[in-house]
Amino acid sequence: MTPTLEDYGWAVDAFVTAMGRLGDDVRGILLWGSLARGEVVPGQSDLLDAVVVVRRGLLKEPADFTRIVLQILAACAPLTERSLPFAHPPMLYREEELGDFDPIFGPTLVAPDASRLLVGEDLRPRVHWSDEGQAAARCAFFSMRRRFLDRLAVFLPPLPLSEPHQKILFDRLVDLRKSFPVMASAALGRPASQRQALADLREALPDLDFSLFDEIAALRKGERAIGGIGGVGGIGGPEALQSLLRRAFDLAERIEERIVAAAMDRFRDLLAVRPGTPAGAESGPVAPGP
Amino acid sequence: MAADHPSTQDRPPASGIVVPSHVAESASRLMDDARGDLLSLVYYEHPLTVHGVVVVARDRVESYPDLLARVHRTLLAVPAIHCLRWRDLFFMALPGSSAPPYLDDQPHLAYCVKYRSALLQGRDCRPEVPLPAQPRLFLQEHLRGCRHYFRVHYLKRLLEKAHREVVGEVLEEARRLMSTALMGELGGWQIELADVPQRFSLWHGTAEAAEVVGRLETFARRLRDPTATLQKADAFAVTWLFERLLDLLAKGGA
Repeated sequence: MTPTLEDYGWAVDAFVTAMGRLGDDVRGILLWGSLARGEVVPGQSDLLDAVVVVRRGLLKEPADFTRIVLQILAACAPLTERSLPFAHPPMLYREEELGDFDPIFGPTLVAPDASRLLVGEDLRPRVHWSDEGQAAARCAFFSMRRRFLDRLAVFLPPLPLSEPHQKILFDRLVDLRKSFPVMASAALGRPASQRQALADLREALPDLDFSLFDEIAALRKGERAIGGIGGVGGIGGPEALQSLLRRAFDLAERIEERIVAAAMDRFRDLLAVRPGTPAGAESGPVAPGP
Repeated sequence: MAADHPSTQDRPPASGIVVPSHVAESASRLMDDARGDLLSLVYYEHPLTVHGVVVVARDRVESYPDLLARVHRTLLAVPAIHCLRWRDLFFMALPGSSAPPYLDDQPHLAYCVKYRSALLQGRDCRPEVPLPAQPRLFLQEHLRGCRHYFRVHYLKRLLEKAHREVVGEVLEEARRLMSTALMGELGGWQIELADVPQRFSLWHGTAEAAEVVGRLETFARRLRDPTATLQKADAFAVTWLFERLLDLLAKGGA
């Protein structure tokens, strides 16, 4: 049975009530993701995208740690027993850790239109990411692309996509729509929330075509369909899905070129031996033939 | 605190690297199939992924996505593939995005490609691969990844009551974290994961590190014993030790 918006609301209320048993040990609970943005797709949107912040130093003693974790598990357990797509427990942070937050995710957590305070003190103004964190975030696009996107190339033609293949590929494209814009924005030195990143990219790189992400969003909401994915009346079948993937590769290529062109000096600061020397490219030893 | 390894700078590539025959055969086939597009294939050993292959393409290829498809299909059995253009070799020395328990081999990658490797095909790209200038950035990113992703992961596993699995996964991530802490001149790239706790404890040199590592290793011994039971209390205890390790490293390590 597909859950309703009311089911999602019930789940959030039940979670907050259960966490209330920890009293002042919980400094605040924030909600982010589609629930916070008011964009829930019932049955598809994950539950529960929340961040629980506990008071300073609290997890240092084993008894405190156990008490906090047990209560989080107790608050989550009822959510797994309904037909809701419970994906994961909340993130858990200590108050003192807010100053070195993940620079890719941080902008989403602090943006008023992308997150919502559920209970406690609004700690969002205290969420920061360090310069060093930002330096690493500027490079994350490269490794994300190689670890998660490149391997999807096995789904390109001539592989005939079975239905399970199509489902896997579509799920990965949905993931890509969430992570690609925020990572690209961070890499360009414009950290942005999930909601804002795509608009920022369109502004920063007006000559690139980002409609790929609009099409993935429409498929997910059922406003469009490809084969058995999305709404009624699919068009194009697996070839259309493969075409979306090819466009993702092309876009990643163009963005990577721009990132390197815009920030090469910053990258040089991170390297002990600087790249760009021509020696070796043409003069290195050659391996013996097979 | 000093590293007990020789400096990694200017170190020659290792000799005696044994390339598995199936990797050598796949690499040969790949080079034949895509000879026009590929410049270099390098096999490397890695303490976290066991091994991997770096595939270096020309800066200009006809269709990079189709080349990627060919590379990943041909090297299907290789656990880590880094396909990049010659001009982008420096990517291997930059910090990545850490999302544990997903494996991030970036911390030791440049060192392993340069010094624990064998040229499989084509030109030798290894002299062109730079090393990271600020290894501490990789540790900080790993710590952020543990707070952001790994806590959620262990909470989920505890919720599933997968207590033995929690113990195993937390111990594995703790070793990876200690390995990252030993990055760069500390020689972590040449220390196998099983030996990391002891080396980390020696390097850190504090009573607190020795205690945390010692208690984690006690759990590791129990985990290796198929007759030993690991229950909820053990899962909580090992997870709390992991949090202490995070604190220890966040304070500035050694």
